[in-house]
Amino acid sequence: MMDDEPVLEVERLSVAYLTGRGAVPAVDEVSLTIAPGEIVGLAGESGCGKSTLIRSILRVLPAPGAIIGGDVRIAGQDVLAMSERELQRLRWREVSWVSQSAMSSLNPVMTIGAQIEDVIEAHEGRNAKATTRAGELLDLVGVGARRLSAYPHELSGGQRQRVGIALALALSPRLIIMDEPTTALDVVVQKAILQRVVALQQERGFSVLFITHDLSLMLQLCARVGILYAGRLVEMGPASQIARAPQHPYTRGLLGSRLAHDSSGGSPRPIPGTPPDLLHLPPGCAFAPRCDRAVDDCRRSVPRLPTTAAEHRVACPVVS
Amino acid sequence: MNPLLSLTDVCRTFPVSDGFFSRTKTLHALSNVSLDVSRGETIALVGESGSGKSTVAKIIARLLDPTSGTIKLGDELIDTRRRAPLSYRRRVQLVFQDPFGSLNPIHTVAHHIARPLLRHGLATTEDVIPRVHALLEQVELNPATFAERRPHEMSGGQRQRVAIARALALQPELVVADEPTSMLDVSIRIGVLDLLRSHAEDNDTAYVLITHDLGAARYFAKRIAVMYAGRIVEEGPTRSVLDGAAHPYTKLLLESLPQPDRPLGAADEDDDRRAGGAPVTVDPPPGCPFVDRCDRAISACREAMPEIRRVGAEHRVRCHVL
Repeated sequence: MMDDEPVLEVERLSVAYLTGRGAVPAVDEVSLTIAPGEIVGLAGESGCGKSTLIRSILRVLPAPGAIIGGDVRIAGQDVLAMSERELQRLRWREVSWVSQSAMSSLNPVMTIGAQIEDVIEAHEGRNAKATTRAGELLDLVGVGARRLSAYPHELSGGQRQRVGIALALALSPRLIIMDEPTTALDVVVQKAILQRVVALQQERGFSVLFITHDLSLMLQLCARVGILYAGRLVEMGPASQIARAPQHPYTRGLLGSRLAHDSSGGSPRPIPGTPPDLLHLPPGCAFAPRCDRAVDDCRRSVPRLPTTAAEHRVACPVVS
Repeated sequence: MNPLLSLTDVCRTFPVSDGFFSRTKTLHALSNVSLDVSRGETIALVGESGSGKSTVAKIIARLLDPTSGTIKLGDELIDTRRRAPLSYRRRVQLVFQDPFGSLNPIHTVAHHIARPLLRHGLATTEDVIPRVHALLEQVELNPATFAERRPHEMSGGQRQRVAIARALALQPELVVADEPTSMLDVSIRIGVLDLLRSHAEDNDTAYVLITHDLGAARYFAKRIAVMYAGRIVEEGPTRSVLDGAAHPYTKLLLESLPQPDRPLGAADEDDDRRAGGAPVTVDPPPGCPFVDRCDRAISACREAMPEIRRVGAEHRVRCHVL
């Protein structure tokens, strides 16, 4: 693999849940590229398709979900064409996943050391150095090698989430997908863990795809961010630009409805209306019914992110 | 004028056991919590998980009894050894965090709101329907659309509005709202908080908002109390506490909130220490529970629990180092 080849390429990916009441389009023509060493964030509210998107990328989409179009390549390999065996080789080694709840992804009757060794040995065979490496990984994430023989229930929520990150790092993958990794944690712990991720990323150079509903957190952590609405990317660009000058009316609405703890940002305003019902999406832009700037054009065809090389792109006929 | 609700030195402990043969230990969920809530006042209780804020909510709602300490509602000293009478439940109502779990899936919206009205004798089967419709309008749900719906036919925000209408049906003097917006999408949280706030203002109803979201606390409440390890460590007018925090824990909490315009740096040892272990609440040592995470701790902090000190008009802090 060339050094500058993208770690992740998602091209016009569409995913639907095929239910008795019809096909629910959960992800609609999403394209996304992550370069080596990049931290990219995706944010959106419930139902925006962020969880479906990463499950599709990892090929762990539960039924009745189905990938109905597009391409996914991780480190240049076509993920959608892979056999189950090829996928097993890909996971942990090229791409790993930190989920929202490490409690449910850790085995309660195995020590955390044994679980990390398991991952190492499953991919590299019996390995005399596995224990030492597990200890080093626990040191790296700030849990400490002395906790190798601890069981998950003996650790706090924050410590367990750190173990989840240690597991994700075990085989030095090029890409780590983090799905709301700190949502269940208190803010002090959240900040310390994410700062640890930043330090590890700088040291080891992996890429991160960070999924969250917390726009402030994403803008603070990521270099580049995308905003999802009703399964579609509506804005993508450098975090600093989107924090300073959001373009899409939905992004502006999200930032404007943020409840700040300090006097910054003026008085927050809710976005009128309710999130769309994916079974009955309006024609054209899914945000149009809630948008105070919508024009007739918005209701005619679905606006897409332009395919230009521009850094900051918006899927809106009014602002672009 | 007397406060509407007054908690004095409320403590709550739970026995815990490490194993079959070991000595039973005591978990101190709440220690010497004193809190006055005036008529029509909005107050937020904030803190991290395990700080005791939900225990306070349960004690105020009389779902849990204090181990010691007193509760006064108006002029009445509450006998906490007896079950709460119906009249207490009418005056103090609770809104829960989870609008998916707090509504019964087999009943309609109208049934949920009519039930407390009938149970408390505030309406008869003849005149209950117009009352239900008026309450739905109050929470900005169209009665024609929503009265006959069941919980699964509504979004989370709509369900939470139904739960609020049910709580308001009894015209309570005090509403305890336990994380009412934390399961809702960001874009609709403000709408729910606006609804609660205008209800508080229009009806002179007092609100205790339990939240971990300091932004929501600032937006909603006039007064704020910060809890740590079962104690109130800082309390005062919301702006004074959030803009001029005095307790090191409150400061740490504020520094830790995500700031969209400030990139996150890499972690150092100090960050990990400050984020470190939850405070010991099982047979805790003497002294301030925050001492191991505090940058400014002195030897006195390990020896004795700090007293509450006044740092401004109405602004009080429990800290030795000020």
